[in-house]
Amino acid sequence: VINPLILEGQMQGGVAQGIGDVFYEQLVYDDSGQLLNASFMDYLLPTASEMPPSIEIAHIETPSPLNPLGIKGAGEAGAIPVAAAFAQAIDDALSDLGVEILELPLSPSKLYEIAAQAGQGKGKAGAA
Amino acid sequence: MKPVAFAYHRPATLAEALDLLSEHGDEAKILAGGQSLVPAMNFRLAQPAVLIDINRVAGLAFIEPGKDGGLRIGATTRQRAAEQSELVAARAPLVRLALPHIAHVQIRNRGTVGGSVAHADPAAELPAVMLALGARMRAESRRGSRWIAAPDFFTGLLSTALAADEILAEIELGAVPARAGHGFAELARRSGDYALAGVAAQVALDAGGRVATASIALLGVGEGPVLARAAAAALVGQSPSDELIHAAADACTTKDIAPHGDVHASPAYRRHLAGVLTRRALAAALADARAPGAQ
Repeated sequence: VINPLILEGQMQGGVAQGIGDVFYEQLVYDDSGQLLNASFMDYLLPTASEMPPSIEIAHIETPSPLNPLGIKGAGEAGAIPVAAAFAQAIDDALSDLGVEILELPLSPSKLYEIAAQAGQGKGKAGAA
Repeated sequence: MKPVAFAYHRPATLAEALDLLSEHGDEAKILAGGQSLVPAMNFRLAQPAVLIDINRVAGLAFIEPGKDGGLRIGATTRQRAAEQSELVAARAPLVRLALPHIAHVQIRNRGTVGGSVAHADPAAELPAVMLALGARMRAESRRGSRWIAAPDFFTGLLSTALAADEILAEIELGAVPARAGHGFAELARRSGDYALAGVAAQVALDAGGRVATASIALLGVGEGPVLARAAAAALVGQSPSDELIHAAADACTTKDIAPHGDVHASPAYRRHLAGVLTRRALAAALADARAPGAQ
């Protein structure tokens, strides 16, 4: 790792983006194509309050064979797995209900809808 | 964004403020903490021609004992001041429970108790609490002073019984009943956001441990704060139990509310959530009422 401090910041920021992906960020349109949440009053971004109190970061360093210095970018690594990790955890927690998470973001209302549909026997297709 | 142009007045006395309001009427808005009005103006959702800033009006910010164990809160009392007041904690425990749920500390440092009540946002905490507690609001105008009971005060979406020339000056709460308990529960998508739904409850037990009185008000599920009369009726005269709490919550969701949907929550989810939160608030209130040392 060339600059540990910058990389750690990138990872933490990526986790925040991932939390936004899972729980908050969505452009909502009505039937006529009007954007319904066109300001940050209604388009929700994660804030410091939505972040975990601490994030432990570890690195597995594997030099790239594709250039003389063996370097590669690492910035996006923080964001990519977060959404899937949360979705899988919720999926697992609600497996008794037959819930399978197939779309994001998950608001409490959306999750209620998915769980209610799964409970009615529509099962896994309900979330599609 | 920036607001449209407006005239700005900063009176030092209530009489001066009332003169200005009488002169400008519907054209004017009262500026208290500005935590709702100013964002609405910046989005140009509100375009008052005249702002009357009452932050420097003397005698509107106070927390004082009321008659017979009650409490009086001046309209421009900061929410944070009320939150940290021992008098509020002792004489209006439900207000104390609800205040930390309002936005963030920085907003409560500026936002006022009266401003929240007069703005009457359906998702705001204080209007529901004042409705649950049967508060009385003192309205002042050049025509004189009058008291308005909470059920008459909240008249719909962002609207109150205040006339165009009236300023909310004071909120008065009665004494907490004997053997009373309080519960407040809400759910917001993010910390400090307006809640998707919330419930404020006060219950009092009689000497035999049955529910003597119950008062429950909801936020976020109607045009304004909603008094859950059927839920309260289901409780009165009964011995507290999990079954009773469930029955009251069912009465609330089936008879008392007709929630709307928006980008954050469907009507069905809001109804479900209102039931869950009613159970939580009632369980907390009943436990509080039965606790040793309850008032």
